[in-house]
Amino acid sequence: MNKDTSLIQGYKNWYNNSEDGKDILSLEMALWSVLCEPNLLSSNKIVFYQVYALIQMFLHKRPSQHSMLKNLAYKEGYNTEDTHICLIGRLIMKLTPNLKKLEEKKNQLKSEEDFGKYLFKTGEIVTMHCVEEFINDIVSNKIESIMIEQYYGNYNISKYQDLSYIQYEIVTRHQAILLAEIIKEEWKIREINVLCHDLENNCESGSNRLKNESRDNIYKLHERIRTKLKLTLENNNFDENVGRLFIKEFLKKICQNCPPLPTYKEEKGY
Amino acid sequence: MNEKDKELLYQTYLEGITKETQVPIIELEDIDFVLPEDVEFTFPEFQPHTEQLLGKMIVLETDEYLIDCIVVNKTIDNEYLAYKTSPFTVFASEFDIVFKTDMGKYLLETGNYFYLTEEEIKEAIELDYLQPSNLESLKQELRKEHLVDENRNTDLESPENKFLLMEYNITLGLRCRHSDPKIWVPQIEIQYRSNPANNVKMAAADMEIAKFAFRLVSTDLFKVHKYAYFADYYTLYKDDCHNLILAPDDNLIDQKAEIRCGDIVVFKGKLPKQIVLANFIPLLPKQAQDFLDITLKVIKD
Repeated sequence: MNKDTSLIQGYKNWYNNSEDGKDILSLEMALWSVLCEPNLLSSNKIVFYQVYALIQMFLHKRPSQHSMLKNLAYKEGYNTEDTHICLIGRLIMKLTPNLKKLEEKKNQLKSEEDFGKYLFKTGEIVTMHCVEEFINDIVSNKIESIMIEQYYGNYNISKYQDLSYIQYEIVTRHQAILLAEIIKEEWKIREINVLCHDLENNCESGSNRLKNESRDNIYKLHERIRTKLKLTLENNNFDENVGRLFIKEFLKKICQNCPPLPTYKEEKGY
Repeated sequence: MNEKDKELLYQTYLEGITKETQVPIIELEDIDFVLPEDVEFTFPEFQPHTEQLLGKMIVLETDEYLIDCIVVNKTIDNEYLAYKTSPFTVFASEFDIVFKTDMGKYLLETGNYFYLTEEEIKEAIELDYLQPSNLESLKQELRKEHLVDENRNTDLESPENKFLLMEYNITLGLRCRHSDPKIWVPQIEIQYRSNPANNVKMAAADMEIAKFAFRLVSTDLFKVHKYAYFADYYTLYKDDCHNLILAPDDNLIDQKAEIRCGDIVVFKGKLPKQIVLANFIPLLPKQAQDFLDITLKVIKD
């Protein structure tokens, strides 16, 4: 996302000053362009604003559901921004595999307006589904759905999921953010330093941390810190997807704010 | 979850199944922009949904409702067997299977199924897709017996049972258009099966009357009365497998009608020769009639 102007200001400028692109058909066509090329959502601000506005329109078509999600998320301490990220991500993820079918529909329908209407209806229904899933996930998490799942016929519940799918799961995302907070508050900086070394070590540029530690020691420290991370997950009833998403999305930020320490040994001030 | 939360959840569900909402579109200037400055969206390499119809999870649009379902099998008549699904797994009961895909978690209602045409599936909105190997696992799960929970809430007004009733209500048209309609009677499936003794009293006095009658009437006639109940427009009887069957009067076959159990519509459509109301149920037809308060009403166009 281009950060020349703030997103909110950019959005305001767009709807206050822009002459074009604000009619419903333009918004629908912006969604269509994102479905054809999902990266547009991050690379083209106007398209992003249009799609965002359209999704808000979908949400407002089902006011009870929207308000239930907002209230529930607020009561359970979910960040509103993250709820929106999950909604947008999830909607695009659910719509994109239908591209071929939507293309057929586009060719079959006579006008762009008709296709726009079809896309609006499809988008509205799929958005509603995303909202229902989020509401269900938040409530399930609240009532320890494990009890239910042990009881009823289930399968495939603990299947391995690709990270790119997990990132827009509302409960997993919320718990990954909580995990980041727990680590920032409860872990010592020298422990975070080891975790960050483990992360950065896989990058091409390597890491500036633990420069004074031997290779063997680093290996042991990595082992120890992974065990600690696993324990932190277990102690907070987070599953491994929470840990995976935390590493992918939120650890980077923690590491940016953690000064590189050359050793694990306790030093004054840390 | 407390009853108030469950009720709220049920109301949320109700809004979701309604096809059209009368809410006007929100104006752009009324939209709040709520996203962090550094938001980035990344997406997996999308695998387009396959052309294969089996495994598709779709939303059907009927006149009134939006119906989620999964296409599970193709029949020899080139119809497709579909089961009702829902994302509201918090309402899962012993009648359901909960399963997961990359993009969602769903409950499948094992008794709520119907048949679709290829055209209907192709016209529906696609939500998700279950890979063939996972579909096979799901089918295996469907073959297992789902035991009735004896401690289940049998109050039909409770949010979880209202959810179940509504789930069957919205598929009524789809279930009843088949020549062998799949009927679901909540009084039997939710109330009777979980606690037969509490719901239908097999009173000792009744048994004595039956024995007395047996001595008075001929064996054949008694058999008829024991295994059949004659109402104004239909006959209720039990077949050899103890299924409770409703047979409409001959002159009503193929006419449009509605069958109710109490206030609940359990069939609506063209009357076939017979309708199985419940499988393997140890109730005499008269007892079933008294317990279910069955009525049949012809619908005039």
